[in-house]
Amino acid sequence: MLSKRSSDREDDTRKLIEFVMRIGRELRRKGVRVSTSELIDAAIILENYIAVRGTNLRTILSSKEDLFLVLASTLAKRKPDLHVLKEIIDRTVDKEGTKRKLVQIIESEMKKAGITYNTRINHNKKRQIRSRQDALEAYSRLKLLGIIRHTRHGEKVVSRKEAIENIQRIIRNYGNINNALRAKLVSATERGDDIVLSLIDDALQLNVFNEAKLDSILIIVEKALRKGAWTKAKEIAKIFKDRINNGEKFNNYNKAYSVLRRFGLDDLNTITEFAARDSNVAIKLAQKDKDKIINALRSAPLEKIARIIASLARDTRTRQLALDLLDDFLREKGSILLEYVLPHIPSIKDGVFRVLSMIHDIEMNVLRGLVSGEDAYIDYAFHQLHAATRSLSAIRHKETFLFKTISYWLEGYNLILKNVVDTRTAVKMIGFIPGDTALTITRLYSLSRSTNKEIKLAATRLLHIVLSQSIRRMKGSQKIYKKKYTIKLRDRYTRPNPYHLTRFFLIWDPTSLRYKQKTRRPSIVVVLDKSGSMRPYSIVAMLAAAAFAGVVDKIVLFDSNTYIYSNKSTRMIHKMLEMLLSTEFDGYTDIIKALREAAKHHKKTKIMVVVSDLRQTVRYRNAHIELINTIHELYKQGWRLFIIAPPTVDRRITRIIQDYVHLRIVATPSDVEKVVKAVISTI
Amino acid sequence: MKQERELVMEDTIVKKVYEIYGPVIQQREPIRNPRKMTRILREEYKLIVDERLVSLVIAAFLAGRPVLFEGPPGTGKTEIGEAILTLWAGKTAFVLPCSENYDEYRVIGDFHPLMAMKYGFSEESFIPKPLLAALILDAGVLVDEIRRTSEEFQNMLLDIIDKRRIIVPEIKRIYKAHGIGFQVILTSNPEDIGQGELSDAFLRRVVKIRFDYPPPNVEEEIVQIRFDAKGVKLPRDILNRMVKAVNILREKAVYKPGPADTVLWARIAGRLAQLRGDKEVRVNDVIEASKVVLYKRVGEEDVVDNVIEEVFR
Repeated sequence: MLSKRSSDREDDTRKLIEFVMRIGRELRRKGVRVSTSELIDAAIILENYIAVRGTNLRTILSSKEDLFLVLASTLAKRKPDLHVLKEIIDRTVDKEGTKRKLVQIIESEMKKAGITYNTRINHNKKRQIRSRQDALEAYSRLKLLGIIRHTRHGEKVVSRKEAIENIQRIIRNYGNINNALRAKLVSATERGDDIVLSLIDDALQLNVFNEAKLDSILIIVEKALRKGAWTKAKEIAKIFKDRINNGEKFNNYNKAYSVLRRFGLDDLNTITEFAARDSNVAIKLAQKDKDKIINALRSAPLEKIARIIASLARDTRTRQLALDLLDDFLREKGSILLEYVLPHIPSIKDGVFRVLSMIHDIEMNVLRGLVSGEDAYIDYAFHQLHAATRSLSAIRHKETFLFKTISYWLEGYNLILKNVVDTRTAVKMIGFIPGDTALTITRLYSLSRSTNKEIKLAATRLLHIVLSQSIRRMKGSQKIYKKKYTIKLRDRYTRPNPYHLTRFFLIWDPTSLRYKQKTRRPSIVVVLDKSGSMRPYSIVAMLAAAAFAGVVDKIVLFDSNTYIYSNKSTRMIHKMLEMLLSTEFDGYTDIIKALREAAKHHKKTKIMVVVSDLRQTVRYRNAHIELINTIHELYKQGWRLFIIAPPTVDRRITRIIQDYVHLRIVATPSDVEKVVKAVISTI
Repeated sequence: MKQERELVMEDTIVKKVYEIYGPVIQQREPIRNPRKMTRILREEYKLIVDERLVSLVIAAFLAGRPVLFEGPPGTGKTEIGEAILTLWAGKTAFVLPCSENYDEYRVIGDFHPLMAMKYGFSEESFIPKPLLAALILDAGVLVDEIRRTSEEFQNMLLDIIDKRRIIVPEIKRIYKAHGIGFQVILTSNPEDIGQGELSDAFLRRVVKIRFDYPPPNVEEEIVQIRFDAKGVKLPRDILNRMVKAVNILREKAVYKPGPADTVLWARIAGRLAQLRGDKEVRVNDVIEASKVVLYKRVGEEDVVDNVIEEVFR
């Protein structure tokens, strides 16, 4: 008896030393300096501690608090080492516990499935398993975790030793069983494996469908439907919908449309989005729910409307509907819609759409001609212009709004082309651009994003000219300068030359006065939101920001990162435009950080112009309250804040902050001029 | 054994130690059980200490390692250390309040100048100091504020603790510890002003225990246990708010009040209530007492006032 007790004690001591050594090795791997003498101390003190507490090794090794107290006193004496030790202890203690728990779980699953270690699963066994739902689920889980393997001789349960090795691998790679199951289920979903169907409950609980690729989820939904699991399929479809509402991307819009429609989850917004991306969906939708799509488009952005109309124009069955829609929406939204439609128009050989695609070609050729100086482009543009005019006159319904708009556009191009022929310079050409038809700022901007390098270059150049002209027209910078004259006594200053010496001794009059002109230039900080949510209003935002060139001291561009430009060239209109035109509007928004960064180290006049929709998308706890607090802080620091925002601005925030900031809403480039003038007059 | 004892007592230095320090040392039964020690600390010394901490200190003593208590001021490091040492050895512990110029002559022993002139540098002129006295008497030593001392002093101390003996070369003597009562607890507060760094070599040889501000419920218990105004009650609600105020000040102010300050604050408020003839501490007493206890740094009065107003009004 005595010898057994002493051998137990020796065993415990060995285990304790192994444990301390393991912790020591981990600490050293993480860069903590642990000496051998400290390890010896730790082991001795841990042993003493166990004895003093009157408990046993097993209890202490599973108590994180006790371990941390003892080991921190010997192995982590510097403060930064503490959290490393804590992490290691947490992990080690958890690992031991998890391993025991995992073995238990796996053995209970095996019991449920009616199998034991090291056995084969033949057809009979499989049939038995399939007959009971809980057995099938247990079997699927074991298969996913690698306890049941596929061999040459059919499926086989691994031996206990292999199972434990497998479990250790799972702990090492995933931490716990749920993480492992989730990862395995995600990959099974992405493979489209049928095993997911028997574990749909698990998958829903473990948020597998929030992680797997969207297209693969559609396949699982279809499979579940085929199997008759309607309610579960609907649950998955709901998750799918939430994810696409959050802006996640996928490819198969057609399948997604049919799935969502089946469950009645096809709300207008989602469906128009699908229709705008996939012409097949648009056509299907137009054939089934014509009224629905028209209603949906009333509140949709122009880009979406244009895409859907272009999609509908592709099919002969829906082409007439496309024409009607185009006519209707042109009347409602103005000719700006045509600009959005043009790049998407398919090459169709009849009717109005043919004229529209010709206009697109004319535009391209004019731009190419201006950049390269080749007559051929201009001549070809002329030729197309005549052809387009001829085609237009052949159209029957001439009283439609669409017809009138197109003919007005063609006239505009006629005027431009004639001028181009006369002057062949872009600068002069601009003067002849008619108001809101051909080649407007927004159109040029969208052309400047073209993938065609030539077009891109030409459009950017033209845009540069147009923008700097309109900025000069706003005269922001001149108005801000305030002139002031001060009177000063003439300086008693001479140089050692005859003129100065004479002046100094003979005609120097100490009472004569000198007028000195002083100008005061307020320095403005412009903060521009370049995140993805501002993309539809990027040209407006750019124009608004660039309008303050000349008085701007610091320009801050931000998405989830903040970029600060404070060199003197930001005050030059063309430099600033160059920078802004090369800016991509993309990414998440972190306005809170940007505002704080912008206000930092600024000691001059505290005026800040913020161009943003105030929609914080980088996560903060209570983001909108944090944003309001930040703006309030700036206000308390003495900043005068002018916020220029698109109509999509977050109203929750504007309602609260409107008392201490100047808020202006802009929607189109023509609004910018008014707003900028109003802002400048208050500075 | 008796002979040995007598032999030891024949030593002049040992005799001197008993003569000088004997009257100050009070004897009691040594306590080596952590549970019992925690109970006595709470009941006799009014100190609330975690049993695990006491166990760790005892484990370190058994391993022959000095213990370093480190933490912010006012968390009871010195008081707890002294109490544990006293209970462990069963004799009143020696306290060495350190400063920069501490060296072996101030802790081990020195020669009396006049006596040295008469007897030369011999046992007669040697005056034993606390560390040597503790070793001889088998009592504990609390080295307070170790960070204020020089590295040489720290190394000398560690050497003595490691080998459990003191060499006095001038009188050609080696004194060895003859029991396990001679233990050392060091305290330090890295956040205080005028603190040096502890070397890696030093840290390697001590068992370091961290002290932190106690959680609010424990702090309330501490104040309750140490509140000493007789006939006056400290209402739960006021105590709650006092602890809350102290916790806010620990985040905001430069002078961070420890639990000791909270206790003092409650005691003064209690005395004020006593003087006014009240049977209960009122908010006014607490606010007045706060001006005495919490105004520690010049220019921080506003911070304290704001916090007091925030919590009490």
